[in-house]
Amino acid sequence: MSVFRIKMLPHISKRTAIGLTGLLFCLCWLVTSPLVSIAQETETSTSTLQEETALEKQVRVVASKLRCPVCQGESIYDSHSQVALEMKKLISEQLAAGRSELEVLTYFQERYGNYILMSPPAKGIHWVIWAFPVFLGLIGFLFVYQYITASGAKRSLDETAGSDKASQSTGKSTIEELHL
Amino acid sequence: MTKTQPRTVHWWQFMLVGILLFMFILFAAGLGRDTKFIPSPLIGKPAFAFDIRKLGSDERIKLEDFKGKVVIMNYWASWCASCRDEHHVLLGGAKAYADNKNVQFLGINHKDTDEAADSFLERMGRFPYPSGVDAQGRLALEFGVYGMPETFFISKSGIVGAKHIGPLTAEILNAKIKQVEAMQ
Repeated sequence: MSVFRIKMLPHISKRTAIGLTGLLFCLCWLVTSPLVSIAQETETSTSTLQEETALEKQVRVVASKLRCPVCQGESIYDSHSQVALEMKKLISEQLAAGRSELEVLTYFQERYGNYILMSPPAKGIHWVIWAFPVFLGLIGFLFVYQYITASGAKRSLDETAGSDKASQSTGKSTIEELHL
Repeated sequence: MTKTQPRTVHWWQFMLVGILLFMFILFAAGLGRDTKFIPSPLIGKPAFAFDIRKLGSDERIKLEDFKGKVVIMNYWASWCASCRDEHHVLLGGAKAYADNKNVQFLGINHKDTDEAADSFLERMGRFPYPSGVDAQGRLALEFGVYGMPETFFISKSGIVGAKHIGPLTAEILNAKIKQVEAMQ
């Protein structure tokens, strides 16, 4: 049994390591992917959705896209801090005055910078943030692909070697029988 | 005797090392950053022309009243613990620059009541300069204020020259004043 384990260990460390690394990258990709946060955001928004006016809906959409300046990773829509409440009030006033959602977002961006946006704009250095999960995912899939093809190749090689051995032993026994 | 074959390095191993190195550099760069430093997009742009009530009176304070002077605009509140830490710095700074007619200190009392603000000044020492009232915090939104205390340094021509988040020290105050005084 111990001999079996020792023989198996190098096999596990080589091939399974590749597969596990691939899976790890896929996992990283899933965790860091903005799709996950978008899905979570949609789920939260749907659950808290009540009867609301068109303006309230617009306020919710804009407030969900803005970061609360005094909170940790919370949008001003989710926050109950004084600053967030004042910001929501201002958003409501601006939208009621006829400003578009983009204009309101730009208003805050011009005063607080990109930090105020929950999702950084996909331009400049921020491209790295958006591209990184996709990049990680691609590498993960490549690792998994390599693992699968390598395992398949090894299996077919083993099968060929096995059939060769079997034919050799059959040949041997036939010769032995003939000698007898 | 078995010969050891040279190990082949695959392309993905290079890629893996490269990615890990990149992530490590990003992480190291992030650790080295000053968490208090948040770049303000207002630097280099004209300051918002405000018109607010003076604390403890019905008089108005306008930014344009201080045109031609470097304005040190300090956000403070009686409920802000860090404001107590910098209070003596502001008192000292205002005293040191009292003879300099090109420098004007201005307080902005944020989300406070006149009574609470007055009580705070009574305890900590009254500023030898005026304070405006931003009871709703609207002016703070115009200046992209994150929290108390925050100080803006506005140039003689009304341009936001510098900003400091958190309690001031005498060194920071002097350095920022000099920096903005040098601006045209």
